[in-house]
Amino acid sequence: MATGLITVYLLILQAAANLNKPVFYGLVAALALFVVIATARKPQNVLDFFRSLKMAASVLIYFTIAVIIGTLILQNVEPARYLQSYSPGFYKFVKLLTLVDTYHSVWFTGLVLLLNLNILICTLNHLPIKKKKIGFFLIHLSILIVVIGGSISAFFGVKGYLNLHEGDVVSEFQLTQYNQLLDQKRNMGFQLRLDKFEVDHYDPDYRVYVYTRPDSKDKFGMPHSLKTTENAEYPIKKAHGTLKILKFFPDYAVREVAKPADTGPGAVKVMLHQGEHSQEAFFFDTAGDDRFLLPDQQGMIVFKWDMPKNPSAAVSEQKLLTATFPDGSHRLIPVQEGKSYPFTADSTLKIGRFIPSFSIDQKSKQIVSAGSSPDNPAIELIFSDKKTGKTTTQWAFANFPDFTHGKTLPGNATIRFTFVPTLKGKPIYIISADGQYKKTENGKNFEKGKLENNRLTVGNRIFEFSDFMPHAEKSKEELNRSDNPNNPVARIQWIQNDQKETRDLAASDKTATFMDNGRVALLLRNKDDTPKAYRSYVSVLKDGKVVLKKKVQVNSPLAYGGYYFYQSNYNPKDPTYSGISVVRDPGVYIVFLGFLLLTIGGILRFYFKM
Amino acid sequence: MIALIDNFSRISTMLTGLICIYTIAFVLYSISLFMKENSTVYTLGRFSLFVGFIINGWLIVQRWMEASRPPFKTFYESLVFAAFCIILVYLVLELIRKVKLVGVGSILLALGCLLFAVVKVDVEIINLPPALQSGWFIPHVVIYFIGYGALAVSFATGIMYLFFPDAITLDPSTRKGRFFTNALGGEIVDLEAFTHQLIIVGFTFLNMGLLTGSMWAKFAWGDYWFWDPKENWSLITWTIYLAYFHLRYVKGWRGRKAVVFSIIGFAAIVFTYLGMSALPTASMSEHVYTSQ
Repeated sequence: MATGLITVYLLILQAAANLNKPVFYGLVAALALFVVIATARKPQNVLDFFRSLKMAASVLIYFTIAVIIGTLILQNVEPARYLQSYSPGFYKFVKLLTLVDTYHSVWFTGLVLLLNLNILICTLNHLPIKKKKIGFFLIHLSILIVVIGGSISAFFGVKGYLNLHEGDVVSEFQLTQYNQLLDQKRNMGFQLRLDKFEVDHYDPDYRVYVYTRPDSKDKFGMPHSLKTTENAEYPIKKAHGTLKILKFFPDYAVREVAKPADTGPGAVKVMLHQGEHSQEAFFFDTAGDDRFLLPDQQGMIVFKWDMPKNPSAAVSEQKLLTATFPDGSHRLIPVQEGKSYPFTADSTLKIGRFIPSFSIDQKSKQIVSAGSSPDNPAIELIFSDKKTGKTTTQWAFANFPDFTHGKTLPGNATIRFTFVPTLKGKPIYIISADGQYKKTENGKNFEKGKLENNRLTVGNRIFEFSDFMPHAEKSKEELNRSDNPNNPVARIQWIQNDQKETRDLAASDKTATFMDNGRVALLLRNKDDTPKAYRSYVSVLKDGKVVLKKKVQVNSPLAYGGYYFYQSNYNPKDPTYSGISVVRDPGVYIVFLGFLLLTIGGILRFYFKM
Repeated sequence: MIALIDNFSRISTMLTGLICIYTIAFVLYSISLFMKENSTVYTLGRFSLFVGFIINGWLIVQRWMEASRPPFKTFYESLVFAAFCIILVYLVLELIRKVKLVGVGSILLALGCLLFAVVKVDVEIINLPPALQSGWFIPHVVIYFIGYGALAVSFATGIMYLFFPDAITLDPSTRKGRFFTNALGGEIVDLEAFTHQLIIVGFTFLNMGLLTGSMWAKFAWGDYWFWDPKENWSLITWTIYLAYFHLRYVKGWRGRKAVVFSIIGFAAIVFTYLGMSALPTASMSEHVYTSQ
C-alpha cells in the first residue's frame, strides 16, 4: 500500500518535471522533508518499512510492471511514428509521464533507488556477517555493487560517436546520449585515422524461390528456396508440379554472331584489342553491317568480301530504306534527300530531311541535330497519295527500327532505315577476305597491301580478323560473360500434368514469373545481400606519429587512452564510411566485480549448506 | 495447424523420424506408469528416448556443419536445441532417480518444441549477421537453453504437483500409493520440493545467461544493458523467479502458492523466448528471431 503511494508520488513528480520545473523541485523538497520528519518522529516504523520483504516484493512488482510498460510503448522514436500508432491524446499522456523513455525517466530511476535502498537496509539489518550467511551477503552486496558501478558509468562515463570516411583524421568525437547525437564534442588527446574500411559479403548464392497457393485469389505461403544446380529436379508437392533447373548463367548476355550458312552475305570475325581489353565482333558484307566507325571518328574499318577496284563507291555514304509489306515481300530503296520515289501503286515517297544525330531542342521544341557524328541517324519520310494528294509524314530512326509513331503507311508497309556512314578527312581501311587491305582518305588511295597475320593496327587498336565465311547468317548466341553475378539468369522448366514449360528467370526481374494460372510464382534472387563482416583499419596517432594500428570489428573494439572504440555501423551506399561508437566507462570493472560476487554468492547460497 | 501439416513435407526425414521416436518413447513411458517398476516397457521406453536424444543431437550437429556456424539463429534451429536441452536435463535427472512421470511430461514438452519447429521451419539456412559472430554466442545461448530446459522440467513437475498435491501423504500400499511409488522411481518424492530443486538449477543458469549477455554486449557494443525488449523480458523473468525465492525463503511460501508463482515465471520464459515478435517494440531489437 505504502509502496503504491510512493509510486504514484513518483509519477506525479515525473509529470511535474515535464510540465513545470519549480513545482517539481517543490515536490522533491516536500518529499525530502516528509522523509526527514517521519524518520525523526517514528524511526522504528520507517526502518521496519524499509527492511520489510513486503516492501521489497511491492517495489519489485511495480518495477516489473514498469519494465513491461517500456516494452509495450515505443521508446525514443520520432514523434511522427508515435502519431502513426497512438491517438494524440494517448501520445500526450505517454509523453507527460516520460513513458517514451521509460528507463531513463525520473520515476523509474526513483523505483530503482527505492529498491536499492531496501536491499541496503535489509542487508545491514542482517549484520554481523556470519559464515552461514555469506551467500546472502555476497548476493545482496553484489547487486548494490553492480548498481553503484552502473551509476558511476552513467554519471562519469562518456559516450560518443565518430562518422568517419577513409582517410579522415580526427582528434575529437561527438557526444551522444541514448543514441542521439549531441552538439558537444570531446577532445581525445590523440588522433584517430581511418586507414581503410572494408565489407565482406557472403558468396552470392542465387536461389529460385517457388511460391504456391491453392488458387489465384489466395495469398502465397512460405516459398521453397531451390539451389540453381543444373539438372536438379525439385518436386513441389503442394503445387502438383516439379521445377527443373535447366541452366544457370551468372552473367547472362546475348550477342549477335555470324554463323556459316549456305546462302547469305560473306562475314568475318574480328577481335578488337585495345591495351588489355579485347572484344569480339562480326562484319557482314551487307549495307549497315560492314563497317565500324572508330570512337571520336578517328577512322573507319570496312569489310568487303572481294576488294573493290574503286574504293569510293564502297565507302560512300548510303541511306537505305527497306519496306516490308503484309504479303511478305520487301524492297530495298537507296534514297537521297529531296528526291522522290514511287512507293506503291497509289503512293509516292519523298525524302525530306536527314539528321545525323536526331534530337529535340528543349526550349524551342524544334528538331535539331546534336552533332555531326551519326549517333542517332533519322530520316524524314513524306508519303503522298497519288489520288487525294494527302500526305503522311514519318521519321524513321536507324537505331530504333521499331519506333513507328503508330501511323499507318501506304500499303500497310513497315519501313526500316539503315544508315551507312562514311568519313571525310580521316582514313578508311577496307579489308577483304583474302587478307588484303586498302587505306583511302577522301577517296584517294594512299596504301594497299596484305595484312600481316590478318592483323590491322590503327593507332593503339589492333583488329585481328579470323573465320572468314563466304556465306553467313546472323545468329543470336547466348553466353555467360563471367563467373561474377552481374546478370544472373536461371533457365527453368515447370513440369505439370505431363506438360513442360520453359522460362528464363532474371535476378533483375522486378516481378515474379507466374505459372499454372497464377497459382505458382517464381523468383530468382540472391539468398543473402547482408554483409558477412565489416571492419575498420585504424591508426592511433600521437604527436603526428603512429603509435598503434588496429583492426576494429564488431565484437573486437580498440582500446586506447581510456576510451574504447567499437565498430558500430556501415553504409551500404558508401563503402568508405565507418560508424564508430566511443565509450569511456569508469564503472565497468566495478560492475564486473559485482557480477563475479553475484555468481559466487549464488553458488554458495544454493549449493552449500554452511 | 494448417502450417504444421503443410510443413511436414518440407522438413528433413530425420526430424520426422525424431518426432516419431519421441512419440514412441512418450507412449512407452506412459504405459510403463501402469506396469511394474522395472518393466520391459520402461526399459524400451528409456532406450527409445535415448536413441531420440542422440538423433536430436545429431540434427544439431548436422545443421551446424551445413550452415558452418552454430545453429542457434532462427526459431527452427533454437526449438530443436530447446527440445534437446529438455531431454538432456531429464536424462540427467533420470540417472539420479527413475522419475518416469516426469519423463512423460518432459517428452511431451520436447515434442511440443519440435512440432512448433515444424511450423516455423526455415525456408533456407540464413547467414549470421556480424553481431552474432562472436565467441560469446555459443556460451550465452547454451547456458540460457540449459536453464530453459531445467525450468521446463520444473514446469512439468509443478503441474503434476498441482494435480496431486497430497501425493506425498499417500500410503504406499494403496493402489494410488503404488502407482506413485512406481511413477516416481521407487519412492514417493515430494513433487513440490523436486520442483524447487529444478528451479534452483534453472535459475542459476538464467543468472549466468544474464551476466554473459551483459558482458558480451559490453565487449561488442560498449554497454552492458540496452533496455532492448528481449533484455527487458529476460530481466522480468529473472525478477519473477527472484520474487519466488524471496517468498519461499523469507515468507515461507510453500506448496500450491509457490508452484503457481513458478508457473508464472515459466510463462514469462515462454514469452521471452517465443513472444517477442508480438511486441510493438519488437522491430527495435537485435534479439528478435528471424522467423520466415
